[in-house]
Amino acid sequence: MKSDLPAPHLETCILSRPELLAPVRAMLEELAARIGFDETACGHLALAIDEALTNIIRHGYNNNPDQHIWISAWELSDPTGLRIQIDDLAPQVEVSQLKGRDLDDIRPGGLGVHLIHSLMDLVQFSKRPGGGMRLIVEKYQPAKITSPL
Amino acid sequence: MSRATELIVDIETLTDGFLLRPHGDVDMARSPAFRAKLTEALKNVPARLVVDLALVPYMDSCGLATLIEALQITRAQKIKFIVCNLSARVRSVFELSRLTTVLTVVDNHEQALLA
Repeated sequence: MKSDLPAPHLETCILSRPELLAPVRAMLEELAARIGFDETACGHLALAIDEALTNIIRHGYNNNPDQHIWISAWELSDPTGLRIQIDDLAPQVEVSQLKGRDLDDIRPGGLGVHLIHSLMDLVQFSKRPGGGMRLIVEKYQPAKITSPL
Repeated sequence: MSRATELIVDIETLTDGFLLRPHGDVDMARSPAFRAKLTEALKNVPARLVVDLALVPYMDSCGLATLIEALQITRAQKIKFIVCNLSARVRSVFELSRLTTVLTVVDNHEQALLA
């Protein structure tokens, strides 16, 4: 899936099947760990991506298992972190509709977008010019405190 | 059912109900299997239903939704519904979703039997 960014450090395409969520989580968690994220941050990143993919499979592709989802990841240097882009070819929706439910309204569903916003430092939904939707998320590592001595 | 969507759930009979202990990640692929086990246990309208998550290292919003569905059924049928043994990772998802404010969540199996 083409992008204006430099070539990603990792790029993959999966079919829209729930059984592929676990391997994607494992892959991104391992990438985040190797970049230097701690265990909690790796888990948060994996959960945010899982929620994004779940939403695409369920709502974007209406549980059709044979559609494509493209996942690209870039290591960021300033600030240090990870940028992940998820592209699909699902029917486009208004970005303003992509918001989580009120957490006080306890009911099944509607938690995914809320979790993505809670877990990531940057969340950007957009309509892809060629059709489909794009989600860009970024997670940064906490700044290292260096001793003045 | 493939291994990716299969979820092993131990079911233990208690004096006043059932304890369910799922094994493995509960995500979009496996939450239907989790829901089926919960539904089966709730069919008997026990006085108590305990879900022990000691062997669940990961749960996403699909797993949470399944628990919320069970909560709604147990409330309607006046069944005590208790969740216990959350890993740090699963607990953080509960907290982010504010589920700890509506579900009875306890630290361990023993507390779940007394709650």
